[in-house]
Amino acid sequence: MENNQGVVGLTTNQREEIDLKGQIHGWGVDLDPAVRPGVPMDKAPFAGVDTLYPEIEPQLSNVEILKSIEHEKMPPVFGTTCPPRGLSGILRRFAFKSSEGQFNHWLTLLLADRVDMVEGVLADLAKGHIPNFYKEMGLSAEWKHNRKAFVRTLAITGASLGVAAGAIMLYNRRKDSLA
Amino acid sequence: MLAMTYRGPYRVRLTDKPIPEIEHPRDAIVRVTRACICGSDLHLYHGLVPDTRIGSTFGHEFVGIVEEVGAEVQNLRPGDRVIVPFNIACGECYFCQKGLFGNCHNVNPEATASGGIYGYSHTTGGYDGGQAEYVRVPFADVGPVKIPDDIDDDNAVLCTDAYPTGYQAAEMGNIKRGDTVFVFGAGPVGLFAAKCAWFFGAARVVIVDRQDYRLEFARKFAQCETVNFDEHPDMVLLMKKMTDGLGPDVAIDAVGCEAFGNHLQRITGVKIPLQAGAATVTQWCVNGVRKGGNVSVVGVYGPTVNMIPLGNIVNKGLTLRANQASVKRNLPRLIEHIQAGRINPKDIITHRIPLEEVAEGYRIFAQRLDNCIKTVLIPPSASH
Repeated sequence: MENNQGVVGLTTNQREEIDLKGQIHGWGVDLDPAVRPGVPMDKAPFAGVDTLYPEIEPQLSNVEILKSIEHEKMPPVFGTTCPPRGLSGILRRFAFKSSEGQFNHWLTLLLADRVDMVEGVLADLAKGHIPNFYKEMGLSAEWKHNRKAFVRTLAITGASLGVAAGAIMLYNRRKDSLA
Repeated sequence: MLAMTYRGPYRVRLTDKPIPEIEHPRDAIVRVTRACICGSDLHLYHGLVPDTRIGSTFGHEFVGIVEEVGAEVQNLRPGDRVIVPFNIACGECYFCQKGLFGNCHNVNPEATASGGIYGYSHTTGGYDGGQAEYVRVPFADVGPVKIPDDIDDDNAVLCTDAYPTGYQAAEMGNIKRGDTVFVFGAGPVGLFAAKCAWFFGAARVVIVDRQDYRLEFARKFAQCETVNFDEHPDMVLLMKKMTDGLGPDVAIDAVGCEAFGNHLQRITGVKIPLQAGAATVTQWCVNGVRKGGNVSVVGVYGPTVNMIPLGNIVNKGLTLRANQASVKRNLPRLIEHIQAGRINPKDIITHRIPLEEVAEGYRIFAQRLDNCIKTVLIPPSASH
């Protein structure tokens, strides 16, 4: 498409004459606000806060649901996947003692996520399942589509680990000889 | 059933999960025929969204066929093909009554700031998502829309989030005839925002990214100008230079919290979580847009704080608008645009991958491998 540099500097009349229908299929079809679906604020109908928690039959569940303390009532419908568990669950319960406006609420949840990840690996191992990190990280896609960079990354990572291991061994040997 | 499950940052796995059941009389169970990986799924995948629990199934962009309905569902029947908006909404609360279906107050116990979203952490309600063979769909009479016969599943699945979000990004920019619009991010949402900006009468649309293949695609798909910000040391200055020193009338942030382009933002927003993501693009939008202009933000950021130049929002008299797209509200008009041939959303799909290869699908999309723009997952039960 032609570069229209300078169009911002057009006068009001010049702007109003702009018509790109011939160049772009659909140009200007939603110029008229009346045909726009309406973004927040544009077409908000009158509604009172009496409808904040309308009477909706509550969902019944035995799953532990953590509720934001900013909610005055338990919402009637919710997801029931992955209830809190283990140490990560303790952290999550702690996080929900503070409101959404508190930094520690979110940071504690992020910490809980990392603990949950470790718990997930331990749970896998406890079931006799060794996580296949190569598969789970989709690294076969790197091998297929980005082989050169992938091999380079592996080589750099391997070399770095080798150097680090060598340095540790050297340090331990010197420590032993000094002792 | 087969379902993608999250195992930790950069790790997902296909597992066997029980088929979801009706848990509320207004629920339905939908058999998924198409599910996308969304750019915002990558924030979950990278472990940046608080309360993303191990074992969760992601996926808020999906379409499918109704398998079962709860006792109180009136509008849907088993066998109906449905678009399921990514927002879960009750349709009756104060916010839904205002058409703010992305801000429903009755579907997310874990937070009041966000509504309910399928497969998007417990911060948005703890619902399992659609990167699976079946999904529980609450308030089935409110969100889902029957797919017209002339709309195929590939186009329909893009009506669940990416296309409505891109459209609403342009709409919130309050574009007027003759406006210049800068769109940041040539991912799916940015591409749709750029394409839709013309519908509102823009005279000039510029899309900004750092991936040349995406910019090349944007030139064809959205007929817009392109800028690779890696080639320009000062993006804001470039915006001014390209617009007679004024700045564009409208700037759209379709990138969100994992933006490149500013080391300080990147380190404090992505590497160390001192802020809720790298707000580089919002910063560029605010500083680059003209005085009195509009900034529209649909990029996803975390719930804590971000470094953005509030002083310039005040000094320049900007209007800053943002929201999760109100998909249900936008859909009738968006479907009309498809039916009129003004847009063909499925053009952006570059990868159709079996659900069984979900881990590779995430890797390809996250690392921009194989010139990926949009990945669609197809469950094995899709053709039943």
